[in-house]
Amino acid sequence: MQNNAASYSVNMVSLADTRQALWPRPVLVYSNPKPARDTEWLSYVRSLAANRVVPQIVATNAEQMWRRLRPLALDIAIPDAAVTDSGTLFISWDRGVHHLEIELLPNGRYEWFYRNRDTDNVGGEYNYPASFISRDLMLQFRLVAENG
Amino acid sequence: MASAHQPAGEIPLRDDCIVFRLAKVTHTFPANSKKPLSIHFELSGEEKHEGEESGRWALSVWDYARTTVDQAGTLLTTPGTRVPFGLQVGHVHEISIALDGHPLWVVRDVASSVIHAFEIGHCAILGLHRSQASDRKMLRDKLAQIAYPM
Repeated sequence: MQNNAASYSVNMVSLADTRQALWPRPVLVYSNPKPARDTEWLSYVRSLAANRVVPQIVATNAEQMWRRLRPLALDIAIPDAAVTDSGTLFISWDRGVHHLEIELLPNGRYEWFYRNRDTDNVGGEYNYPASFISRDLMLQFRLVAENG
Repeated sequence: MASAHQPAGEIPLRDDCIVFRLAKVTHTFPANSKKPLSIHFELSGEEKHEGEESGRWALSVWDYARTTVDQAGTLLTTPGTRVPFGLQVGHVHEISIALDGHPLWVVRDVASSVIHAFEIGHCAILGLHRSQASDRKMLRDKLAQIAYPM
């Protein structure tokens, strides 16, 4: 994952676009002026299950996914999040032109979607078990995080 | 903005109109955030149900010139905190995706029988229901991009 981003095909996202975005680093357009810390994020996720806002499996999957994705980011990349009526946890990052969102579903599966807001290049995978995190998602997470 | 692709039997709003979406927002992070997120422009469970029954998939919005945020709030049928997000109709009509230069339409959507005069401000955004998940998610993200908290 570290330096071989160009060695495999990225679903629906052009490699040229990905490389251009990774290096040199694009100009920052949006950033959270007061980013919350990791601990606040994990506290939020745990509180959702404790307060029965989402099923336990959603909170568990969110925490496990965060622990796997977080080390990929050089800088803290705390997301925005909200919960839907159906108990889905929606998580998104907007960093510069990069938009990444993950929906953790009550059935234990998830979807992710990436969009470059300048070029409309998109990527995504749908209805995956939360235990599986694809290389494409890792690549997009790193891309978004490094532009924060 | 009307064109040959205008949905049949619908009355589009003028581009200079402002509509707002009363988005159900619960347990946001950061707390009390009013940032428009793409999930705020996902069809609700009720809207999906109505779409499945009627074949007309409509995201509920309100014409700000005819209905205030407070008035719209009195007509809600389900409990929960809402945040109003404004949209300039012209910006919605400018949204495009590959192979579809005008996927979204803001149209009048007034019930046949209204009790209060301000109910005539009810409108709908048509075109968000897509078989391709990537198209659906792109459209709702484009709405989030042009939306603003009111």
